[in-house]
Amino acid sequence: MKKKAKHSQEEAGELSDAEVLKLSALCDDLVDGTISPVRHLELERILISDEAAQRHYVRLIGLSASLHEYAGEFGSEEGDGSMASFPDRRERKRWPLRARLSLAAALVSTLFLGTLLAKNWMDQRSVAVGQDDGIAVMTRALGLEWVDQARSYRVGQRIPAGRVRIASGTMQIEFYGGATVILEGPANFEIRSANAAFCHYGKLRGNVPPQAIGFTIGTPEYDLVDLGTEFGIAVAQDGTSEVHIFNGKVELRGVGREGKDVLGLSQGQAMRLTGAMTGKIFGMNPGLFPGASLLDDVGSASDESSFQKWKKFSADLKKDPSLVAYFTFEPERPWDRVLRNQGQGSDPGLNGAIVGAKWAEGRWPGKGALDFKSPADRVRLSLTGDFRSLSFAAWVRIDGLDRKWNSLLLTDDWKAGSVHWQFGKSGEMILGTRGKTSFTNYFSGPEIDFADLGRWMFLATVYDSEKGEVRHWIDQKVISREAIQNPENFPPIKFGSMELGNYRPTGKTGPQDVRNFNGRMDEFMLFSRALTDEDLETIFQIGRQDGCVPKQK
Amino acid sequence: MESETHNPETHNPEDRGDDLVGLLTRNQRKIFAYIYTLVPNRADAEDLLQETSLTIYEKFGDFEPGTDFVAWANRIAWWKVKRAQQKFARSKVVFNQEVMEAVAATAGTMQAEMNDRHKALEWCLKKLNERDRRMVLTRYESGSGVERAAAEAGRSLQAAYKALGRIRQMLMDCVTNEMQHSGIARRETG
Repeated sequence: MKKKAKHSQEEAGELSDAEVLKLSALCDDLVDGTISPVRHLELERILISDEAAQRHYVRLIGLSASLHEYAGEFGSEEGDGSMASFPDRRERKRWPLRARLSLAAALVSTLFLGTLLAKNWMDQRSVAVGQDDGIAVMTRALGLEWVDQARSYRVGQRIPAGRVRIASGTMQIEFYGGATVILEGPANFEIRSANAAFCHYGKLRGNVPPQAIGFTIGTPEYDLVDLGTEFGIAVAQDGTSEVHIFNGKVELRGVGREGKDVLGLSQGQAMRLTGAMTGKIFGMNPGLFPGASLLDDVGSASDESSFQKWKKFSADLKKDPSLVAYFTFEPERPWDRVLRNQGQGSDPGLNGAIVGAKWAEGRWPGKGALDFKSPADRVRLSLTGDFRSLSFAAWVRIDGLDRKWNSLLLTDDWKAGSVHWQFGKSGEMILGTRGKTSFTNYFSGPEIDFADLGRWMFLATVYDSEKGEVRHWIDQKVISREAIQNPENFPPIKFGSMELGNYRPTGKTGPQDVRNFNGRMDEFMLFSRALTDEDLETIFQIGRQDGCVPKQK
Repeated sequence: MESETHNPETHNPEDRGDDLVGLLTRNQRKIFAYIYTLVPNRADAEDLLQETSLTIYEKFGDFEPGTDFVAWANRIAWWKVKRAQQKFARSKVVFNQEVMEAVAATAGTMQAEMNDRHKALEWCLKKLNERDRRMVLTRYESGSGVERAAAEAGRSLQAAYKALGRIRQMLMDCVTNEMQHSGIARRETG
């Protein structure tokens, strides 16, 4: 097409009506992905030298770019199209205020959050929510009893600066600086930085590799500065303390009558102090302190016993008539590509076909899991029947919040009765249900965050039509409750074909968004009834693998 | 009349604060639209936006506060698109280099107009009847497409393509009309 004379300054005014129509038709095909190579060449010929055509093209394609955004602003793929829920960020109700106020949420509510670089987002989010300030990580535990449940940690969880108070039990803490501390309760221990801590009282063993030389443990009277070694220190509440050096050297700073002396202790030596007053040097006794190997032995014994406890529980659970689908992820052979249903549902489609996902280790050594990594990974399932109430529950280790939608269990269909169980990029649990004329997403707040990546956690969602509410649950607590919207519009839930860990919409053949779950799953339960909070608490307590003493009621 | 060469963002005093996240948050839609104009496929465009965002993050030190952030970001996006074209060319139909450059240059001069059009579109969407609005938004939802829009509307695929063409045309006309009424249409067209 040759350049046209300008008729007016109106937009597209330089193009004839026929040209505008032609361009519109070509652009329709282009954005819908149906353009043929011949027509694509035609479009190129039109655009190559005609600036008016280029401008009109930018407006036409820009309209589609904007529509992608407005469609996204529904807050969900499953938002409904009624005027009442017309996109307006200010009207979205399901986000807690805290989230809306945080910078993280400012980013979340922007359409293409997913595109914002993960690193930056993570930094901002952590600052905003105050959670990625870990300077140590709890790596092992045995029989722990926390002084304050609200300030307890799980194996694999990061620990920020602050007090670690345990009434009994033993835990291993690895500082980001490289030092490892095995702490025995009762203890009141304070993590101060990646290379420093303070022991108000308690008994611990420290192992300090060369990278962490200078690691300091303060006590009320003096500081113990490690010069590359392994040592034990016990601080009693009456102000006396004992220091034993198993290897290498330490310095005690701030000891003596004036509290200003520095005293070196070397391998094999031990000393009892009263306040800052030093005592006689005597022979060290490593047996007085909690040891890594001790934790190894008891650790695995505890793993073993909690695994056994779970196995027994699991065997009983299988008999629950409401447990329709139950996957324990234990392959009979390493090359098994069938995920066998252990639940009561007799539907043959409940023996899942594993696609892509690989077998991996689950919560305990020897326990199986499926690792979902690539966008191809999924387990194909099908289930017939109508369900009024449902409970979904799974033990998962989330490795990344990298998709806008992270699939747990989704029906291929999205029609009346369909259900989508998933979590969003900002860590919100989502249950989407489809009714006859509309659909509803039940969101929790953004509860899963970067601190949760890499640890085993228990996720559950209850669709309780009796009580008329949807409850989301993480680990041992309910994170959200919401009334079921317009129940009369929602027929019983029907599954049909569905997928664990991924989503393949019915009838869709072309490219689609990546929505696979990134992580491992080692137990999945689908109940045809609404589990109570007590049921979920029990499943959580039996299934937790870190040897923690269950929370006292 | 506002000058066409200035992005309104640059007049905003809060942008002088070197706040990368703020700048990116406010402007990524515009950067996305620019990329999408050159690569009209949502998933590809989002991938490119992500790559662009990473580079913006790395090179943010080079950005001069007070200058046009979107123009600067679009230049980075342009290089990402150009590099990706070679990759895409093996698997799908893409514009040749010459067309890409011409369209990119034109799109680069239309930032302010496209921003106004985007805002006008929100109003135009509200004016659509509910059936059309539901259909077009379903079509453009993440992970959705024409097939799903057709299924949900209970129409054949062919009918859905047709309906979507008609709805887009209505929206185009409405936006153009809004632009003319609000007197901002000619900002970029002279």
